[in-house]
Amino acid sequence: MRPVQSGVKVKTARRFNSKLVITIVILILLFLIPTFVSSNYYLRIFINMLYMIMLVAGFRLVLSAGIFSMAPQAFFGIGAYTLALFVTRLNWNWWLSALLAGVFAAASAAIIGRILLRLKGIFFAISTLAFAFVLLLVWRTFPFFGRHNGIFNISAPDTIFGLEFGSLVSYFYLALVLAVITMLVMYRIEKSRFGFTLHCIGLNADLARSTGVNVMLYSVAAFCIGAFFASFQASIQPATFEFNVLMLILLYAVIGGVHSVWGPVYGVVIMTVITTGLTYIPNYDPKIGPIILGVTLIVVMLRFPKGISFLLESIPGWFRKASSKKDNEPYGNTSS
Amino acid sequence: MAILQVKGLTKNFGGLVAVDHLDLEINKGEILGLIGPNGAGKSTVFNVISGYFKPSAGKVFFKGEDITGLRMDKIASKGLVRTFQHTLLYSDITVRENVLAGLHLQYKSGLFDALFGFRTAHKRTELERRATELMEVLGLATRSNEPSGDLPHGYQRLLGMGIALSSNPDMIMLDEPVTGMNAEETASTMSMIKRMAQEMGTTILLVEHNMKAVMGLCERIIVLNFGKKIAEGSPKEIRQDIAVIEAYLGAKANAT
Repeated sequence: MRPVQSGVKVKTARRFNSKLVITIVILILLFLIPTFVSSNYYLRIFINMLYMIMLVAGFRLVLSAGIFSMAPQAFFGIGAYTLALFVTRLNWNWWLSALLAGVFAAASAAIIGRILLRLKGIFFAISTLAFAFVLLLVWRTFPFFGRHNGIFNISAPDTIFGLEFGSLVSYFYLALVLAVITMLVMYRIEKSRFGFTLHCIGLNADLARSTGVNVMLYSVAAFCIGAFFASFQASIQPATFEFNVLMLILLYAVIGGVHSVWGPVYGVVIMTVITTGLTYIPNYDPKIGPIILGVTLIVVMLRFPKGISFLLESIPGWFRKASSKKDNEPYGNTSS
Repeated sequence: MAILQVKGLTKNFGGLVAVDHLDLEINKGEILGLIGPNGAGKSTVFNVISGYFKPSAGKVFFKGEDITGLRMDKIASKGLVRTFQHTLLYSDITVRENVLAGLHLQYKSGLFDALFGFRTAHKRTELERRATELMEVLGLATRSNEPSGDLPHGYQRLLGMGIALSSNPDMIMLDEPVTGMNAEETASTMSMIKRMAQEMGTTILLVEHNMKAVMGLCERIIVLNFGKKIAEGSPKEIRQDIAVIEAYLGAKANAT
């Protein structure tokens, strides 16, 4: 009994370390990307990927509590407009405005969430979508928000820690740091009691209530965090807040797999590689892109309904099963 | 000493009166049965007491405190929990995780604890210990790492009870705890319920259609029909009560 147990401990300790080493190696590689990639075209693709990952990760967190929000792009927009307005109209410090953008998005999510989260499932989804459309109309109608042109001439981030912003590389690093922070927070939440309770609410909200979980409080909290991280990346580049962004978020989330924290990363990376790779085909017609996305979605839904992450994360399991079948037996016996 | 007092409880759904001026009291450590034909309003009584529905009229007191119309999680945190007829457990996760989820109240951790890992390690081992203990009591220890949705039906109901029990409540309301079980499972669940009352001092209110189980378990039984209390007494008295027999079998045509 004793040697077996200590063996298990050593094994888990080693696995933890190897995970840490792999993470550090990946991080270093990510930070070295600009030294390998000099073309602005590719850097832009990387930046796009990073901010998409943040959006999808926030969406997934909210979804893990069983809340299907169709308004992540709206909170993204709230963040972006807050930042733009504070910087252009009031000449505030860029970083302070970015922080305020996050606070604004989270606060509005708290208010909207508190009102709409009484609804369940599809009713909640539709009402969030309505909210997103109304916001879009407000931005398009009032001159204060720049109407159809939006707000332009937003100054670059102020110099911070001696870092000057201007080149695309500096924006890449900003995006990378924010994405790493986002994923770190998502990972911590996933491994925590808070994340576990969110999952339980997603699985069976009534049962969670009966064991004393304040479902409304947890749901609003998840909604707020999701909105905060949606607005997080608004600071990188003002993009559109339209319906197609939502479609992309859903697509990446489903293809990546919503059961894993890393699902958003897999989804975004794989789909970007596919769509970028397609452009190399001679005589490529850009209209083919969406078709390929659609086909991929259907294939993933049919073959791997839990998403790519489920497939990727089960691969190490195949090897472990094959190599340590004998090791597993004693545990099975001792427990029975 | 009554742990739960229900006074004049009424619940209307539109024009339908599901529960009509119900009074009931449960003493500490007692097993009280609530029976009645289909549609008698038993589940509604549960739903109103546990905070799933708000009552139309009447008051509910738990441990002397007015809990009428409170939210379900508030009521649970005061030590009054319930099980469900259908939605029993978190079916995607393992048995152990289900029990751990039930321990929520013992382990309220804020978001900042979650992000920075404050004082969690010690608590986590403590919780794991409690979960293991509970699974042994329930007889589920050997299945702790199975997805709970794969368990046989009887075990699923048992686990549902375990989740309720894990928050260490003063009183549990069991909604049809042995329905759909075979004779053997019924017997072991009944002895479980008896142990809960006798060893842990948990007060139990149960709704059940299996008369043998109800008669065997309960010290006192309340019979509902059309939302009204028609009889109350020991199992023996209930078995001989004419109003109860009529409610279940229908009044004879020539009876006045």
